[in-house]
Amino acid sequence: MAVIIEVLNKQHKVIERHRFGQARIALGRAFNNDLVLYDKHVSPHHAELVLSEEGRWQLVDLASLNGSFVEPAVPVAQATELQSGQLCWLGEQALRIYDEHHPVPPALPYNSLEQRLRQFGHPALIVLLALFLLAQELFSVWLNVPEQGQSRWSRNLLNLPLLMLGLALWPALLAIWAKINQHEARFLPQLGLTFAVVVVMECWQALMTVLNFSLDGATAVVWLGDIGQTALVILLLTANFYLALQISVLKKIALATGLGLLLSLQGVAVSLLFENQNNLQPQFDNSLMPLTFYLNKPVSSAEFTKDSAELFRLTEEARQEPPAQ
Amino acid sequence: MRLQTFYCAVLSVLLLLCSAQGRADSAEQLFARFEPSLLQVRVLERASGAKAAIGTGFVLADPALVVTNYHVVSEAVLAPEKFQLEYLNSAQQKGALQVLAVDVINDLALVSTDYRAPHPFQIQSQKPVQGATIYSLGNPHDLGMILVPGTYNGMQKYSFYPRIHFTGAVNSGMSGGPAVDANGQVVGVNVASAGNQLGFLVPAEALQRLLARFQQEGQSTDLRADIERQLLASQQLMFSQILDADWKLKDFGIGKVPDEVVPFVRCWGESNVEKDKDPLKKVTAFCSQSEEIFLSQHFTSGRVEMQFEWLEGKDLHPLQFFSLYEQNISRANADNQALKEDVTAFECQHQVVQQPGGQHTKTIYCVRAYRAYAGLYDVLYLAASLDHQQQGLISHYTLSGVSQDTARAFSQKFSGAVSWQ
Repeated sequence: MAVIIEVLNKQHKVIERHRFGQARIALGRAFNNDLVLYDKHVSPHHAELVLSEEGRWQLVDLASLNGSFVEPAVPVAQATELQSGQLCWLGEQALRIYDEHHPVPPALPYNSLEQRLRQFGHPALIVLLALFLLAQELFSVWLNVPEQGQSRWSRNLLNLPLLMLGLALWPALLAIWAKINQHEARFLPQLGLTFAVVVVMECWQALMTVLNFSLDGATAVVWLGDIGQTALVILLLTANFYLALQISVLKKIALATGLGLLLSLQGVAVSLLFENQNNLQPQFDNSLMPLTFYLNKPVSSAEFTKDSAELFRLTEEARQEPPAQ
Repeated sequence: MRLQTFYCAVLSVLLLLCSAQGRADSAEQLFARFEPSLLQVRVLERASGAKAAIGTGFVLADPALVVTNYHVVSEAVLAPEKFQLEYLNSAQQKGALQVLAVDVINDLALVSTDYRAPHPFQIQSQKPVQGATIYSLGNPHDLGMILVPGTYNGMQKYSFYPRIHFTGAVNSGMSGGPAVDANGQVVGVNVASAGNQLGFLVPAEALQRLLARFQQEGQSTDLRADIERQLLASQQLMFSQILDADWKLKDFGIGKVPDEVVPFVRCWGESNVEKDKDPLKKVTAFCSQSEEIFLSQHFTSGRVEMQFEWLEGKDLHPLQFFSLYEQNISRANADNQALKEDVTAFECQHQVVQQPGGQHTKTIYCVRAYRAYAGLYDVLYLAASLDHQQQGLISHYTLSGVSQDTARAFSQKFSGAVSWQ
């Protein structure tokens, strides 16, 4: 009966898989073994796998320097019988032994979502998205004319490569993480995804700025802006983790949602603390745009003055409460 | 000819010497006579027994009271559980003081004492003539009682709250001390300084009014309620003058804005038109009052401030112009000082408003209430015109310590006055 030997790394990931038909297999670092191992703590002639008369595989240690062990951590003193799928160690080198009838899981179909996410790694798409981001940056530099000084173009243009590099850091980190875990790095798809979501975020923000002015800084718009931003962050993280991590889809979504919410909650917490410190400063919406962007119906100044009575009522209520410490 | 000049010179030197001698004598006598009637007023923190503030007070003949500034004793008025008052006389004797009545508008306080001075002060009922020598008495920086000769220069011209303009050094610690004429009669109470030899005194009439009220009503049972009433009455009086005035308008950019609407609101202006490089031409006019009412160490009130800004973009796209325009309205804040303990947070409303003339403005209106004084508010208004692509007019005002009715009436008058094409 043939045997299958998997050579594992320290994280117990398979790095080699061998199939042997003979009844005795020599294991060790010497080149005349059947399976030549590399780990420096493995002896030249370390152990043997022997098929017993009952048709079971046994591990026999050949008086090696660092010894042999079987799962969970039993030293091999004499011929020890192995179960199919059991782990064993020659020194620190982990091996997993299967007999040839050991069942294997069914084949996985191609994952259509993963395929689609990988399409974000298309170089043309990445270049297009990068150009779009550059255009957005240039627009904001153009929009914010400094009141004095003329050197805004040169200085801000020098910042652009730095900005793009900064955006590439996150995908690079994910790629390194995947690589460490013996997965495909998938740097380009991660980069494309990040760029794409950042582009959408910028557009969302621009839309919210316009809406904020045109609806007089309505609370609903502020909320919509924050919720949209959080949703986009969660979407990006889910896609990132989908490509980088080998955990179940549910776990990926949970992790991305948790992290995304944490990030936006932190923003809320910071703004709450900040507001508390500065609550003597009047908080109002100062957005100004040409009148064409305004969607609401302007109120008359008489109505505006009438509405202001509500402010007096509100502060009168606040007056009754003691000041926050 | 030469001899004549010589005689003249000798004569004038002799005259000068005589006059100097005479003045020194009378000032010396004044000081010697009244020194026992001057007290150092000390605010002591009860917990540590240490001085938290010092000022000067003077003993009156009838009734037997001590007069000082409200701002000297304010801590003991507002937090009697934390602070107490004490006097120190010229014989280094100490004793307790108790606040009987205050006038925050004129920064005066009447304080009771068991101390009886040999030559208490009398109040002069007639104003000195412009240029008369008067003497300010007090204890600057805890260095000991001193006498400062100076000149009476009439009433401060541009102040709603009446103050005597005294040319002489009034330093901190002298607050609450008397200013007397050559006969030793009180013409004013030291209150503030605006730098070198520029002092301000509360006129004696304000003190007489407070004394009359005290003699009629007796000791106040609730000083806070008194302060509240005084603030409400004062703002009503001040704003009735402002609202009844015929507001003179001046051309400003493409519009018209109010100029110095009443004598006590002064206006200044500045612009950057000479700087060609600026992408935004900016003209600013601002009007405010130099005086305010002291309520406590970090809380002042009773001021009106108006500001107008005219912006014009040079070769800017409308979006670029509005982005700059927006930055110019982001930093509006109250004009008076206040702490969280004194006022509520601002409540604001912001909306695009169609003005009576058909023009549109983004209008912001914020209100905060005084915690200790019911019915008094600080108000902030800001309006930015939206009808032009490269031009903007920002009109802004803040009112401190006003009632809701006053705020509404001012708002109407102000909106009616500002106009543009």
